[in-house]
Order: sequence, then C-alpha cells, then structure tokens
Amino acid sequence: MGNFYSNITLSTDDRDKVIAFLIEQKRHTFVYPTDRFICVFPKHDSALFEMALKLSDECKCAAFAVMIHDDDVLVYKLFDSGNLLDEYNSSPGYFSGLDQESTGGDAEKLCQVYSVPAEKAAIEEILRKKYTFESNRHDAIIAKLDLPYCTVGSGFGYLQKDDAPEELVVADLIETAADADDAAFADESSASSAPGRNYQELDQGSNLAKSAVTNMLNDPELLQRAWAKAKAGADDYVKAMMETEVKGSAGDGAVVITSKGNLQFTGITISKQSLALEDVGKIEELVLAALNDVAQQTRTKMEATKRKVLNQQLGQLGL
Amino acid sequence: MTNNSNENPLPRMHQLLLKIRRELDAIQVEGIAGDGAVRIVLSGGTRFESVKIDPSLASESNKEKLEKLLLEATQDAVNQVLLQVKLKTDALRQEFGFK
Repeated sequence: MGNFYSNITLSTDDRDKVIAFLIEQKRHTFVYPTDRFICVFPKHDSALFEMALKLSDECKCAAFAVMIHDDDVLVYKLFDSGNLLDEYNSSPGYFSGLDQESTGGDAEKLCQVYSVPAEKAAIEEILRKKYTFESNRHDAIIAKLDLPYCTVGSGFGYLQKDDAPEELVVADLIETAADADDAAFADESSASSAPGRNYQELDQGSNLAKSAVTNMLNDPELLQRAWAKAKAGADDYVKAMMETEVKGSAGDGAVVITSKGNLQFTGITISKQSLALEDVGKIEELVLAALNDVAQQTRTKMEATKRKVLNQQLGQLGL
Repeated sequence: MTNNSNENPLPRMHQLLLKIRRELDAIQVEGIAGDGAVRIVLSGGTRFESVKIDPSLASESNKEKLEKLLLEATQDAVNQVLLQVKLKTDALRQEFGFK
C-alpha cells in the first residue's frame, strides 16, 4: 500500500495566528513551524482545501495544500491571500478507472509565488512526467520550490503514531483540537496524543493535564519542585541559545550581521561595493533590513528552543 | 514559595506577565556609538525601527570604523532592552518569592 497523506504549507511565521485560527475553527491538526513556514497536518482530508483557503485568507499569505492518495494520485491547490491561484491533479481519471494526463499545474505561478523563477522549466517537467510513486513527485516539487521537506510523506495519521520524517522534531509538533465533526476527540485526546507533544486548545482540555496542574497547585512542595524544574529549564534554554548562531543579511549579502542566540552581536560586515556608492540612506536601509532579519531568525530559534526545553521539563513533571 | 494565601497564584502571575509583556512592547530605546555618529532605535525589544549613520562614515575608507560603530550601537540598544527585561522579571520573582 502506498502513502496516504495531506498537508498545508503556509508562507508565514505567525505561528500564534495560525494556531488561534485553527482552534477557533475547531480543526484537529498538527502544526509544525519551521524557520520560514508553518506546516499544518489536518486530521481529515476532506477539510484540506477549505482549510488552506481560509488560512491563506486569514494570514494573508500563500498556502500550498497537497494530498497524496495511495501514492497514485497527487492533488494540490495553491492559494494566496484567500485566492485560488493554481490547482493540479496528476491523475484525474484515477477514480473512474481512466488513464488520463495530468490536469492544471501552472509552473510559472508556482515559481512566482515562491520566488524561484529559474526553476520554471524544471517544475513544468516534474508536473508532466510519469512517477511510479506520487510522493516522489511531491518531493521533487518541494525541492525546487525550496519548501520544507518535512511535508513529504507526512500526514496526521503518521505523525500521530510518531512516524515522522527525519526533518521533523516530534516534540515540536503542536496539536490543535477538536474538529466540529470529531465529537469523540475530547475523550480520546489524552490517550491518543503521543507523550511529549504540545497540546493547544481552548474549550475541551486534556483531563489528565488539567488534573496534574490542579494537583500541583494544591501541593506547595510540588509547586516548589515545579519552579526548580522551570528554573533548570530556563538555564538549559539560556545555554542552548548561547550556543546558537544566527546570521541575518540584506541586499544579497551586501550587509551581513551575525549574532549569538542570546542576543550578543558578533559581527557586522558591509560590502565594499555598497560603501563605494557613498549613499548613506541606502546603507542605513540595508543595515536596518539585516538587523530585522537577525531579530526574526532569533525569535524563531528562541521559540523552537523554548518549546523543546519546556516539553522536556513538563515531561519530567509528568504533565 | 512565600505565598501566604491558599489562593491559586497562577492567574495573578499570568496577569503580571502580560503586563510586563505590554510594557516591554511599548518601550523604545536608542543605541548610540561614536558620540552619536551611529544611532539605532529598537522598539518593543523585537523590532529595529531605524538606523542613522553620520554621512562621513559612509565610505570605503571608513569601512572598519563604521562596522565597529554599528556593532556597538546595536549591542547598546539590545543591552538596554535586556536590562529592562531583567528589572521587570526580577520584580515579578520577588513578588512571588521565587529564588
């Protein structure tokens, strides 16, 4: 049996907005933030494209929604800011038993949205050639568009069983619940969620987690231990960030700024070509852009490190 | 832990953390180097708002000096924000008796 999976890649780093929206929409998903994207793995394929459209509209960003059926069919839809830009079906006659050529798929649009104009011919070839396994086509598209590899071969069902690709850190997954049509979820959540995983929802919490928190608050000794653990976690976090290197740049490397993850800046270099112009306004603009690039990357790394440390600490507390 | 009441301390802690977050979001600091030849404004601790460079520094002959001053001004701005964060979180720790 081949792969069955679906996922959405959002071109945004606004993790909180994505999660808040999924919770508001009562969608049961796994959310995985990467450096430049947020990947969403919905539980139900039927909600995939509608969810992608709405997320793209809500976050005013591009959304690339892919569904693979038994490794025989790849269907994708590309949205931007709530508009459908492109759709593709590798085997439109599959379900009616007909051997038909692929339909849709606009290589130029894909390359334009993901700023890789030079890959147009390669993408066009990938969309039209025959693949034995459609997840290989997915893999090839992702590589050319420079999208996160963790979406290839990865869907809700696999992730729930901790069957995750190497590029994906299971502890960094965030689970949102629950589907409007998934009434049993509240009762199942504690049992079905893998340990060490973030769990975010508003109305129907995990009873196990709630009772553990209540116990802790009613026991000063336990609370003090929790604080000690949190402090140890904070120390781990600071140590990890001190060892992290962050590099920001602007103007195709005209200005490069390096920093440690603990916000100790280690270097700023400006290219001689930029200085030769003696245009102070341009240099100010480039330095500002590079500084904000560093700041953004530091935030992303901080979030990832914080989640990792927090998950470890909560796990040790039995939460 | 020195909480005297049996009340759940988490809501108040959460409230104070939100307050600190709001206060930090509202601050704006200016990092300065070279007697004001380079000025960098950082707001909310997360966004660089502006960079001002004395035009005399924008030349190939001053490359190293400019890079050094930019680094100093950036670190100055960041350090000011980090100090604010430390002062505010220390106050929170004291209130709840965390060592």
